Amino acid sequence: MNTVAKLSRDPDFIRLRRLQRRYAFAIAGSVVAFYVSLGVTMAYWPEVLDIRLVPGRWITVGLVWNVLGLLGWFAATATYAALSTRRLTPLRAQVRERHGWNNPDGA
Amino acid sequence: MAPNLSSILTFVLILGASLLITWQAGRRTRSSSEFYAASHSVGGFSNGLAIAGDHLSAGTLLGVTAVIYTDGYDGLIYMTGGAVGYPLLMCLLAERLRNLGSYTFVDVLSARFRETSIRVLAATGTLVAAVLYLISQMVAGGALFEVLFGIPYPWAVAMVGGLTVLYVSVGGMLATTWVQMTKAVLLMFSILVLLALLMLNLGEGPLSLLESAARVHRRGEEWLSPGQFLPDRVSIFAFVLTGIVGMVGLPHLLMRFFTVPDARQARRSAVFATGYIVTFSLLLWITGLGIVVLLAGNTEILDEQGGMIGSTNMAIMHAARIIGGNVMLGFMASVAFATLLAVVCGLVLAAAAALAHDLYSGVYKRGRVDDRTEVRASRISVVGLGVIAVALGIQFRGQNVAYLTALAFTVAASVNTPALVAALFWRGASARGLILGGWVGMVVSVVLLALSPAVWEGALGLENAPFPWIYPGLFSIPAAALVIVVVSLADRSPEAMLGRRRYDELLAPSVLGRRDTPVIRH
Repeated sequence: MNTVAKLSRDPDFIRLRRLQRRYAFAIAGSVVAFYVSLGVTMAYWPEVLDIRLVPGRWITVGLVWNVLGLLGWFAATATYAALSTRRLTPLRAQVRERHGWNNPDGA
Repeated sequence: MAPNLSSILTFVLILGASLLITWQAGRRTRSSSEFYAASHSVGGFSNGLAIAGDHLSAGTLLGVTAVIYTDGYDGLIYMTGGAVGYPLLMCLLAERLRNLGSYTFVDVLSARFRETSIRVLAATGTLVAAVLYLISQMVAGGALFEVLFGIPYPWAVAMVGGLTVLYVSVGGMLATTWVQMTKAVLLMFSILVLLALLMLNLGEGPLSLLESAARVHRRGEEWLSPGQFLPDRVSIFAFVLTGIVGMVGLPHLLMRFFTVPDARQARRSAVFATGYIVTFSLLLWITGLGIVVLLAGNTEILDEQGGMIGSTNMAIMHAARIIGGNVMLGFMASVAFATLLAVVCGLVLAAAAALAHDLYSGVYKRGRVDDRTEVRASRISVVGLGVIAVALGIQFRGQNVAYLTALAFTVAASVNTPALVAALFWRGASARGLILGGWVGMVVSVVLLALSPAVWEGALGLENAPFPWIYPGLFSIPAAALVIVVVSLADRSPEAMLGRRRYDELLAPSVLGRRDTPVIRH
């Protein structure tokens, strides 16, 4: 059995792939949902964006939504990087060592 | 704005520094690995800065402030939408690209599918997206040089083109990286200085600027509602979809992930880049508010027809001159030049890689070409691309640069992203599906762009554009995805089966990194 076939049966490799997919799709999905909801609101209920969160001030729902979005993009990127480095890197190292996959390119 | 000595001196200083960088880099650029990927030796932080330098284009600096000035809220949604791709790029692609590719994302596609048609499609997608993006930078550069030196627009565009060809052909990826990093730092510094001067000049803080801008904005009470930038539902959804999908397929950004030594540095790059871009976007928004307040009712910035001198793309330059005189104008204009120079370098390099590495070496010579010849072919491609960019920059004069940038996103979203995502995440994808879907995405997006008001009426001077909306992404992206899915599902050919087996074989390297590549650590 070659290394690729062995890897596909390794429970740690399967777990690694499952966790990587889960983190990636959960974070990317949240980002897409947040942004699409802003787009839907702009398209169908633009008046919602005009609602002022502080009476008499121009701190509107639209302004806050966009600013939170921008900060959220950074938070999402940093969260994935942290999860990948802290939780997946040790798992990758274990799998690599077990299968003689010595190049740490994919750390 | 008349040309002045301080503007020219500041510009010459920045120009000289970037030429020095290029000369230094040129001495260290011989092989194709050095030319395309800086020997995979760029660190995560440096690459993050360079990605930010690549992303924050003249479209951002000049175009977004123009949109804030004319439409208010739309400038904000443009920035939010412009950066939404980074978390997706990080979560879905950054590590896999680094683990599977060498110089371009086309290498990643070719790792799974051996058909040369895939290379042709992806390289064409790269070329079209890069050229559209180049137009926006050329338009901004031409307008800028016209203002700075008072020389005619066509000569100004030719000057920008000539300089960028020099930088890229001599210095390759290393010079591009250094220029992009320097530009990112300069850009942040300049916006901080401009914002500080604006707040001092107007005697207001960020929150009071918000209130003042609301009082004087030309859209009145509507200024924080979606405006003319996205005038209808189709445009809004097209913009949202293109923002999400487009960045993931921008070839010059994807190319940056091949310059780092490993996947960890690829992740660090994306985090640094996103943080930098988000910070800059928020500062630029507040600066935009200051510009709205400063320029309100100012008649000296208007031409005889009542429009802004040099178009609204020059709003930030007018503001710089009013608050800081010719010195500040010269500084901001030089920073804007460095900005577009860095982006154009990245774009021209990506397009040259598509021509020389993907098409000439990969398709025409079927890989049987030595390193020196390929680098020479790349340098020749750079010159050809420079000529094309200059010609198109002249033709598209006066178009909003932010809008032109969005067009590049559309093509990338319709051609590159569907193919890349299908190849990396779907075992059932077949080469035939990718090729047909990619060409459908390309044809639909390019034809609808040509028929849209911006090109049909704006650039070609015709009447009644047949396609009434400004962004075609809502049609071209689903069309490409649908064809990929349907054709792949129907494809039972031996090549399709081979492509599925290759998916299994590439799974391990995509997660663990390549097994046999030496690691370069610096």
